[in-house]
Amino acid sequence: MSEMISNTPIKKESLSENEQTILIHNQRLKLDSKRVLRSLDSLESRQ
Amino acid sequence: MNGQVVAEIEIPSKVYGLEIDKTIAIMDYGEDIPEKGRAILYNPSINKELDNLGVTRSRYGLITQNYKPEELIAGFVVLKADQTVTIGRNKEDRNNYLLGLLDMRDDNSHLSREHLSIHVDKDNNISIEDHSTNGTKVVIPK
Repeated sequence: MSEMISNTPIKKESLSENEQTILIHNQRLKLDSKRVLRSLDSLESRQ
Repeated sequence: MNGQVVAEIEIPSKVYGLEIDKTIAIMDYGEDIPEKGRAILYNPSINKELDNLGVTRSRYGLITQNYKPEELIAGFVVLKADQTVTIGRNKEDRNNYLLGLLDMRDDNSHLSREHLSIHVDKDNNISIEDHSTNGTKVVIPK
């Protein structure tokens, strides 16, 4: 896999070029096993 | 063992009165973590490998990125498949100590008792649920 990083320090900037920031609030964000955003759903009210 | 950052989660924190978000990274160590033996894991915040952090068959783990290494107890939480990890200021949850969220110097009033939870299913899909009062910032690749 070309994306795999080997022998290279992982820095916080590793996501910086193609990143998105999402504010989730009482929501569920789902990423699949390929780290792709699949859904953002509201959570049902919790007691 | 190196890994990739899957997502970064910003956790609000106050240290000595200064508002400093702690960033917890969900790391993907791929499929090649040894099934037996101790995993050697790379911690990007201190730019070196950490040893003896535990035996794991998991692909994912949590690391606090912007936290001084001398303040870490272990700094790594394994995300096992089909299990949920909850993060917050609950002092009864060992994970919160491991991630440096219960530092004695912190004012954790910004942090909910159960701030968020992370679940990995059997197919290695990840769910991040926010249960906090003010919400949680999650940084993911586009």
